[in-house]
This record gives sequence, C-alpha cells and structure tokens, in this order.
Amino acid sequence: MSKLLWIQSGGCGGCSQSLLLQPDLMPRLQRLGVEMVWHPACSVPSGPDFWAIVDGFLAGREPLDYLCIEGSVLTANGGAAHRLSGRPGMMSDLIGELSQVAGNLLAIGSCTAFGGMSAVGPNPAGAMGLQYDNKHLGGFLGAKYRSRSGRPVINLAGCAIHAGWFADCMSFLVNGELVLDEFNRLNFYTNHLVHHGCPRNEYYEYKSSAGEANCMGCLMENFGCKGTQARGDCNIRLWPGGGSCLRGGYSCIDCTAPGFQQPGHPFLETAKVAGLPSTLPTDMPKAWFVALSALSKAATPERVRTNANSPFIRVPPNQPKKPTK
Amino acid sequence: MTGKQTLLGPFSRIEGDLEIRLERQGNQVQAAYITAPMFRGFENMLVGRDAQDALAIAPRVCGICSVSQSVAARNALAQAAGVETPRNAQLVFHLMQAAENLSDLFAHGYLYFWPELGAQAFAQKPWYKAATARFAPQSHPWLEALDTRATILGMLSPLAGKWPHSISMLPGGIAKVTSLSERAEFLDRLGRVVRFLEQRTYGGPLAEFLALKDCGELTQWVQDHRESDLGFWLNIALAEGWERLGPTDTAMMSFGAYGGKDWGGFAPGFYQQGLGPLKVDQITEDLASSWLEGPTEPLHPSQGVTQLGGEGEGRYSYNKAVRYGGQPVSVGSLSRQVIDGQPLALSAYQTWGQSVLSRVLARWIEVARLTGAMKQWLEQLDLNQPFYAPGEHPFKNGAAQGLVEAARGSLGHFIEIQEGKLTRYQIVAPTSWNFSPRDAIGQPGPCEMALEGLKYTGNQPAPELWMVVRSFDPCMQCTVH
Repeated sequence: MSKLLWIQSGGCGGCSQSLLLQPDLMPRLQRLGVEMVWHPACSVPSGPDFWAIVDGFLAGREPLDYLCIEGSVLTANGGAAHRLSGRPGMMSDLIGELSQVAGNLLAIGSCTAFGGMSAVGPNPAGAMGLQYDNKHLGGFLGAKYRSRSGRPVINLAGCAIHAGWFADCMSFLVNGELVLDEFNRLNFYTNHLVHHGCPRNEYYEYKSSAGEANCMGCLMENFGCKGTQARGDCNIRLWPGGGSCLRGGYSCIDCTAPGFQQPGHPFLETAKVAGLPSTLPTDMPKAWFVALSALSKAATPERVRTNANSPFIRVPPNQPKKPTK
Repeated sequence: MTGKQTLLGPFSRIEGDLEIRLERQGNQVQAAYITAPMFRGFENMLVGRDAQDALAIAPRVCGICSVSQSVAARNALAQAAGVETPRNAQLVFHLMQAAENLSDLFAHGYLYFWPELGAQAFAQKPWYKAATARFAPQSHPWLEALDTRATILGMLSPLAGKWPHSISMLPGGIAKVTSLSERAEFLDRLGRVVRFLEQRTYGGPLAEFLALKDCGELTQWVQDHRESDLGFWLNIALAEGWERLGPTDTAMMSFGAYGGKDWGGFAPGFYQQGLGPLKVDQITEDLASSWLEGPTEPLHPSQGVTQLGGEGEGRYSYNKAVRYGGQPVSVGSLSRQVIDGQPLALSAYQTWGQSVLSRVLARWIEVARLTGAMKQWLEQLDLNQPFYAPGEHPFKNGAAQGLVEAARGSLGHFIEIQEGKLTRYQIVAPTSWNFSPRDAIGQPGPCEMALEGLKYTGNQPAPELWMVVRSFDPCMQCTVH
C-alpha cells in the first residue's frame, strides 16, 4: 500500500468536509492501493502518536507517497500565524520539510493552490499558495519545486473541492494518467466551463437576463456570473445531492481561478466595460457576440422572456395558443 | 510556574488546530491553557469590501458551519437594509441551518467522538473490542454513518446549490423557490435519515426517546437499548462515571434557534441558577491572553478590533476571551436544550451538571427534535407564496448584527456599514466561547475549567482528557476566523 498523509493549514476545513461527502472514497482509495495513514477527521491517533507518524515520514523510515495539504501556508510573523501543536515550531516549516520527502504533493482547494479566500485584500495572515501566489508561479515552495515523482504541486483548485476531483486525481495518479493545465490544475475538470450543463443555458442563448436575484434568467449580464469563463465541470459532475451554484440560484464566482477572491467588483454584480459585461466568453470576438445577441434577443420566445424574469416557470413549453378573439 | 508541564496536540477528529498545555500539581491537572494556534484574519479582510461581498466571503470563515455563517451574514445585512424576510425564506433558512446542524451533531458522534473508544489507551477495557467493531474509522459501520451524513447534507442541495459555501442566502430572502419535487425529495431524504437513526443510533422510535422525562427514565432506556449505538455508549459512560467527567459550572447561553418557540425552534436565553433573558449588550471580548493587539479593556464585539501582534508573557492563543457580564459561558446543544426547557436535558444538567455525558446526550436529544421540526417546516412551506422580497435593498449607514445558533453554539456577526461598504466586521464563534483563554482577571474558559482536576496515569494525563476536549466538539477554524 502506498501512503497518504493529509495536513490542514490556513483554511476553513471545507475541503475535508466536502471530501467526506463521498462515502465511497475510502474504499476506492483502498482499491487503488492507497492507505490514508492520517487525516484530521478520519484518524484515531492524536498528539504524540500523530508526531510519530510524521517523524517516520520525515526520517524516511516510511516513504510518503502522497502529501495532501489543505489550506494556504500562513507566512505572517515569520510563520507564527500558524504554530504547530504539541511541539514548538511553525506549520510553514513543517510543510516545507514534508514537501521535500513527498512523492506527490497535492494542493487541496484554491487556498492551498493560490492563496484563495485566505488571502483576501490586506491578507493579514500572509496566506500563500504552495507554488503560486495568486497567478504568479512561485508561491511558498518556489517555481522550481518538484516532488519526488518530478511533478510540480498538483493543484486541486476550487472553493471547496469536489470530492470527485480528488477521487479521479488519485486514480489518474496511480494509473499514470494525470494531465495538468496551465496553472497545474487537473485538466479533466478545468477543460470544461462552468457554463457547460448550466440549467440556464436557454436563457443565455437568448440573452434573457434575470432582472432580480431570485429570477430564473441568465445571471451573466446583471449578477456577476462568470460561468462562461470559469473553468470547472460543476454543472456536469454536480455536487452531492445533485446541485451546483447555478442550480442553487446564484452566480458562479470562478472559484477555481487564481485570484478569484479579488474580482475588482462586488461578487454579485457584473462589471461593464463600454456597456458590455466583462463576463462575456473570452474566446469569441466581441463584435460577433453583440451581433448574435441582437439576433437572439429579437428571436426570443415569449416563454423564455417571461420565465427569465420569474422565480418559477410561468409559461411552460408548447403552451397551446389562446384562441384569437 | 508550578509543577510539571505537559504539551498536547494536535487533536485529530476535531475541526482545526488545537494545543493544550497542562500544569500538574500532585496527581492531577492544576491548570489547563487552551491554545488556538492559527490566525486567519477574516474580520480585517471583510473591512472595505462592498457589504454584499460578505455573502461570498463570510461562509468561507468555516467549511463546517458554512450555512450558519451565511445566515448570520445575511441576517445582519437584512437588518442593515431594513428588509422584511418572506415567511417561506425564513422556513428555508431554518431548514438549511437544521440540515447543517443535524449533520454536524451526527458527525460529532460517529466521526469525531465515538471512535475515541478505540484509542490504544483503552485497550484493556472490557468494552474495547466491541466499541472498535462498532465505531472504528473506515470500518463498514463507519462508512454507513458517513453515507447517512451525505444523505443529510444532500438535503441542502436544492436549497444551497452546493455545500459548503453557498450564496443562495440573500438579504431579500432565498435565491430560488423550492419546487414540489425538491420538497418531496427533501422529505424522502429525511425519512432515510430517520430510518438510520431509529435502527442504528436509538434502536427504537425517536418519539419514545424524546418522551423520556428524567435521568431515571434514561437509565432504564439505556438498559433496554444497549444494542443501539447511543445506548451502547451511554451504558459504557455510566459504568465509567463519565456523567461526572469534565465538569464545568459556568453559565449557559443561547441566541435562540430557528426563530424560537413561535416557529417550533429553540428559545433564546441566559441560564445561571435559573433562566433569564438574553442581553446581547453583556457580551465583551478582551485580549489579555491573546496574540492580538488592541485596547486592553473588554469591548463589545460591535467595538471590537482584531490585529495580529501582542507577543509576550501570559499570551497563548489567537482566540479572544469572550465573556457575558464578565463571566465565561458555555454554549452548544446542552445550553440550548436546557434554556429551551427540554425535560431530559434539564434533568441531566440538574443531576450531573455540565459533563461529558450531558454534553453528548444533549446533542442526540437535539438530533431527534430536529428531524421532527424539519418535517413541520417543510409542510409549512407555501410554494405559491414568495421566497424573496424583490426590489433594491440599499444598506443604511450604521451597525447591525446577525445572531444564530450553529451546531456548536452561539454565532454572532457584528457589522458596521458606511456608504455601502463594510467598516467593521467582528465574529464571535461558538468555540470562541467554549475554548476561550483566560481573561484580564485570570478566569479560565469553560474547557480550561473542565480539564482542571483530571487525574494523571504515570506521567501522562488520563486518556479521558481527549474525550473531555472532544465532548465540546471544538471548531477551531471559525474560532480563529
């Protein structure tokens, strides 16, 4: 069995909570030949027993095949923003030491990958991603860091992560099938846009925007939705119970992207550039977008126009026409 | 400096990072010092942001009670906007908070607390083998419990979209209506959860458990339900004397949950030798033991500051010392149920005080009560009525607050808005109370008190120490927001 160690630092713990939403994960890891030696929520050992496990890895008595860090590295006050428990020292130092013996290093969640929500605004705790500081390669471990497998830090970006991303990542790692994107995120989910599978696609097609926050129309024009730019398979894979942000009635805030925590405008408002939403698809000429919008707006069925500004379906499809008087 | 010191940490199966320093006198713990060793700084990160951004940032304070953080934030914003929340939205917020709290209370038992019986230190106990078979992490029964946790949190899906970290809870109400199908599925999930609880946890109808009036009846129930997980644990706990383990005699507080009695929720109040009204202006925080800089006098959270700094002798936590009328206070299920007057919780408190057993028992009383309340709230939803108050909701300048009960206790967001921007954001989380460090006059916090007097076995504190700490279900992440 290969060995996996999971350590938390500057984060909210939500990625672990999300992980535990997939009860089949532990048996799947076992089938993959991966033993979760210690996870903060799933392990009995505490205190000295925990340190014995860590020291075993650090001394090389046991190879550490997978190191999962959940939460950004807190660097403020020389690392004192996150002190170790049970022995003196800083968590940032321990992360540095463990990273040197790790076969693969996984950054769990956007905080760990890029700084994320832990690094909002003045970033009082000095939160930093493992190998990125927002968009900039480097971060805590530096651009040159490679784990023993020769890989850079594998970024499972997202706030929180989808348990399925972690499960697939482990399968692909074990099977040698892992492919990373331009920010060392897992390409199997960042090759998708959040827009793919969005239940509001018909409203988008006709540029039928929601006028109120609770209406069913597209949220791109007025409510800051970044689904047409944001990378993720959230509306295909769906979250446990069958949801997604869009299905929950609110905008995508692009949580898999470095720097998403500082959009430069209120999260739930769309920034406009020369009257056009800044949330337009990035790989389509603006002029075409404008032309298509004009056409589709003119062609919008009354059903779509009405429902877009309603919290529920007012006009169902194929409503027989009322007889003309 | 007195006696020999022991440093303990980290703690698995709690939320976040925790270190405890013990001072020993003779054969027992003379003093305990609880360290929250991490600083996150969310309160400062929120200042200067557009007020609405709290809806996206505040839930990220805690990935465990994310919905509670969201509802506290939206309650504060709704107050600042002076917007009336539609009845349906209130019901949905109750359902969302109840689902999240239910999952936390449930997870405390199955993921965090009961697996402790399998700790090596208990290997010689007669119940060790049976307990391990029942509660060991990653065992089949554990995985079944994990599956039920996922069913509970799956209830949130149609209401929150995703969990954790949803933005469906808005000042004007809930971002989407609940459909007939969604309500039907919610009810079905609730039914599946109740089936698990009745089969595995309680070994009988929840109503029968809730009908128990006092500790005498409970003891009889335990005898009759030793095959259930709760009965099994209570049987061990009573045999081991854990009804007196980890005592605290602090006052208790609840902000009131799910709209209070009028909505079928739990009443607010302050309990100290009897029930009194909750006075939020009695809450203060001081920095005497904190690695934080700021005014030395205790401040109400609406005046609070959180600034990294404050090194030196006597400082040992990133948590602040939060007090009510100058006193340490316990929060959580036991406080909520005692203040609400639930007969069994009240009897447990009067008989055994605040102890490991009463804290754990109160959680399962609450679990059983919540499943019933959730069914009622679902039925009360009027799908033809609004879930959201449309229109602009501009924020008035000034202070506002959002007070809720998360699973672990009272959670307050104290905010201040000027020209639509946040100028102050202070958060007092449940574990801020329970795991408070010493205050300016040296009074320890509730868990610090609960560890005093604990015996040593050789050079180590008794293994029950880890259980006492976990009986509070600490969540350090939101504590060190």
